[in-house]
Amino acid sequence: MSDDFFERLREDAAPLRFEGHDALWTRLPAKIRARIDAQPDVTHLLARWFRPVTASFVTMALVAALSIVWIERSRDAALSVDAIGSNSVEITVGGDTFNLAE
Amino acid sequence: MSGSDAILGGPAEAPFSVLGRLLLTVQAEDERTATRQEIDPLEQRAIAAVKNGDAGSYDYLVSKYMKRVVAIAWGIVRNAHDAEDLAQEAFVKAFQTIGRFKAGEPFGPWIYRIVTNLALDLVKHRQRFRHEALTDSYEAGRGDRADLPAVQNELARRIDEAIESLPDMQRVVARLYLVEHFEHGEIAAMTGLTEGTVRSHLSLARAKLRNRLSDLYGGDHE
Repeated sequence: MSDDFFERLREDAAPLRFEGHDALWTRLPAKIRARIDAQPDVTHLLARWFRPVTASFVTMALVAALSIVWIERSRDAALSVDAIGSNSVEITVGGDTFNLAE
Repeated sequence: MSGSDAILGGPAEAPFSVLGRLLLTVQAEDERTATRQEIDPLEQRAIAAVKNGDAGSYDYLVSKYMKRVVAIAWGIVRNAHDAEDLAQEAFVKAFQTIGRFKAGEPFGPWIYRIVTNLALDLVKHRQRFRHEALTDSYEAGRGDRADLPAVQNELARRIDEAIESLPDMQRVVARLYLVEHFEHGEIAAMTGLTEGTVRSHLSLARAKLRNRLSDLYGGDHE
């Protein structure tokens, strides 16, 4: 690839390099500096990360708590039905006692 | 006629001229490789300081590389405004990810790779919206060519037109090689292509450029 044609072309193409102008070389570092200075610091970065993470954990904890409550209540309800079913009931009518056991 | 041809004198001076030319080539090559391989201690100190939270030290890296970074971006997107924005974006991105930068490495190849990728993304984006690109970028391209100091130079203008007529990747690779004077390995690192692909693009570009500039550099005699 380093033949004479390309070497000559390389020399002759050198003026094609973009040189810009003074205003650009003053403006660009200032813009970069401003962008860098506007970068969020560690506290902001942590806050940005922690907020959604915390929100997710809170949601998960809430769902878990509600689920536990719901499961407990269901279990209690099932137990009371079982308890009613297993206990005998005595009814006294006119001095006679009737037992409504299983 | 190349610039170095002027160094060559008459037949009596030929041995000295050839030697002189060789020396000049070797010297130029040495300067080129020296600037590439030498590690700048100030640069290394600036990188270390930035990594330790001293954002002010980044100014050194910006001032050292901004001209080359803008030139690379401009060569790909051919629009001064976009080139400036891309350079800005590249420097900010490099700053944000400087923690991943390996100590002891030169900063140049890294920032060149970032800006090249950003510029190539913009070119791809333009291609997706070809209608927009046809109206905007061509006009912008012409306007930017007028900003080049080479506009007065007919030879440079012809070379510029010839390079611009190449397909996209050949154009980018040819410009990085011919105008920015990067070597094959450096272009490969910057563009994400293999060195073989870079050579292949350059070979195709070379044939097209030779054909297009045959009136200036002679016909196709391989």
